[in-house]
Amino acid sequence: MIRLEKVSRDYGENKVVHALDHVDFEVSRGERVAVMGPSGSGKSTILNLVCGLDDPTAGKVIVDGVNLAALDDDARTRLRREKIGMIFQTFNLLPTMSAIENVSLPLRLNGLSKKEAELRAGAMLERVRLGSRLDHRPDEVSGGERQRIAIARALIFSPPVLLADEPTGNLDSSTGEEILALLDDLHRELNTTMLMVTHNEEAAAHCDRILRLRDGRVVGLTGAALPAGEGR
Amino acid sequence: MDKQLLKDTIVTVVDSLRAHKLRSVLTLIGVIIGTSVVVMVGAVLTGLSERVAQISEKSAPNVVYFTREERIGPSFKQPTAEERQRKDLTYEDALAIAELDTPMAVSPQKIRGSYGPTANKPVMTFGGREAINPLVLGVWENFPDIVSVKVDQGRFFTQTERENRVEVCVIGSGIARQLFEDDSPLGQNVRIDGRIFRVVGVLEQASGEGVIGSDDLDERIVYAPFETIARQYPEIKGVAIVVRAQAGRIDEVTEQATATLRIRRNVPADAANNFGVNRAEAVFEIVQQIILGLAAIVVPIALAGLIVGGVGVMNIMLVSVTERAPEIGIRRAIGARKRDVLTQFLFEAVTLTGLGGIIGIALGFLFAYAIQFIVDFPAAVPLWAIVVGFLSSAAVGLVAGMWPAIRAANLDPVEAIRGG
Ligand SMILES: Nc1ncnc2c1ncn2[C@@H]1O[C@H](COP(=O)(O)OP(=O)(O)OP(=O)(O)O)[C@@H](O)[C@H]1O
Ligand SMILES: [Mg+2]
Repeated sequence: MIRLEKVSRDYGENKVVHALDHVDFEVSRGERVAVMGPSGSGKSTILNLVCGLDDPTAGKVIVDGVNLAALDDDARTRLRREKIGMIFQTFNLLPTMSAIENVSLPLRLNGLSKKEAELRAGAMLERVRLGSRLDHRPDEVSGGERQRIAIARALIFSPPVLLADEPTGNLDSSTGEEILALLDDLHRELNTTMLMVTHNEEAAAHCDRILRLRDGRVVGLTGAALPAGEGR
Repeated sequence: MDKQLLKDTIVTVVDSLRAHKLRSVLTLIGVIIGTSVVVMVGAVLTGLSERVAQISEKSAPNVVYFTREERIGPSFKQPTAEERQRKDLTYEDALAIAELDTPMAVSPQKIRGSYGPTANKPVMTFGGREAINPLVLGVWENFPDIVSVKVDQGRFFTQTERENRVEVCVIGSGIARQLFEDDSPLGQNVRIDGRIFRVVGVLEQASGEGVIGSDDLDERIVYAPFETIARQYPEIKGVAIVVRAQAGRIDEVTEQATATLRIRRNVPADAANNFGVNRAEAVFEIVQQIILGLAAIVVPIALAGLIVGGVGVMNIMLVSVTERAPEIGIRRAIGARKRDVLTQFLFEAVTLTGLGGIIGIALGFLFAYAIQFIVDFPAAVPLWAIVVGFLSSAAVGLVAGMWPAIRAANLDPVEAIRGG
């Protein structure tokens, strides 16, 4: 479903930073992979490449059999809109919009009427148990609720691929558990392919495999750190 | 873009404008000025042409005035040296033109007073009252055949009265009001520069108007027999000659009379007339001058306003693009195409200037109504002014918003999300 072939991403002209350095890995359909590594190791960069927001300096990024380099901006946008849900490290909600408007925005951008979009957005917010916060703006809800709004927005198209950048990073452990349980449910229901950046071994334990990065290089791609059900 | 999305965008736009209220208003002022000026000019032009129509309806199209100066009526220019050296037109000139077979009627006209405001005005009194700025015209009894003179009470003077230099007069309704209030002026003796004249007629209240403001010319006119006035004011040497042609023959009449005057005044064949030939179209020329003068002042103002507004809008939009870079990045990340971002920002710019346009149009209307009531001018806002005003304001938004919108659309999403 997702394949990176010798992907490098360099930043800067003079003092070149190798954010990613010959990264190779593949994630199959329905698989959940945790991406772990110290800060600055290139985790967010990988997610940006997979959703076509960023381009590799070298190598190929293939999503659902398509080399992203072959897609023009419109085609990539459509891909992001319909196939890839993205949960950002920093939520990235629009501050002036209510929860329901934030969640319905991708649908509106796809040409749905306001009424229909909000009907579906409302249902999705119900699912993340935010039915009572539809008309609140991001600054009027808690961090965990904000994260759930962001999740609802990422899932509004029931995308086959979900990219999550530290979905529990800003949350206390019990709220984090709640979010992880929600993602488990979604995976069970929709067989979503997931790439989840996390610093948290417990969160990683919800995934099938762990991709470990250091200084832009893959230093390990293993089965679950702890076999499911163990150590918890 | 479906209708719902359109409506939604407007709401978003208005919201984001509200966030920068002061700045928006400031930048809008240019657009407002530009648009309102367009509407105001439209209103004034409409008023002028309406007024001209009123005037030409009443001013006889078959009349030509010969005068010493180039123009009759109030003049915006000082007479030139050449004009000041000219010989007067004479009573004999009038007689010579009257001899021609083409004119329908001819009258000399001796003027005491002025078409415009003047210090040297005749003093006209009755009892203790004095008329304001009367304009005494010595003419022949056939004058009502030449220009429309509507006598409301009494009559015009007769040939016998003129030939016998009887001191009678026909007065304008304004003067009648000033001197007699509600009493009948007929048969009363008024004083004009010391001499006693009997009032034999009162003119109808003027219905028409001058080019700007209600003209009181008809209201303050006093007609008296030419010979009477000539005797009373020997120092007024010159005359004007008023000639009426039959319908459709005005060109012919003008040509003949002009030729007669040129011969009598020894104008060489290749020289210009040394006298004025004034037809009703002169009014249109004056109006045209006014319009051109107005346009010369006002069009640059409108343009400057729109340009200043455009620069302001571009500025506010560029700031907005920078400030809202994260929003733009997020939109791009969750499925907005470049062109969606482009239209969003263009739309915002057009809404911004369009708003200014609407305010400007409203101000233009206000102006039109104000001058309608304050100076009694038939200003009205024409449809074309509204359309031109609104379209130019929207166009300013489109042009000024283009660069910021392109910049917004081409932001790198990843960097934009991080904060520009
Ligand atoms: N626009 C940029 N210009 C220069 N360097 C960049 C840019 N974006 C990222 N980098 C560098 O690339 C490297 C990888 O960044 P990335 O955001 O992928 O790290 P990360 O693993 O997500 O870190 P964190 O856990 O802190 O989020 C870092 O060293 C970072 O400084
Ligand atoms: Mg990161």
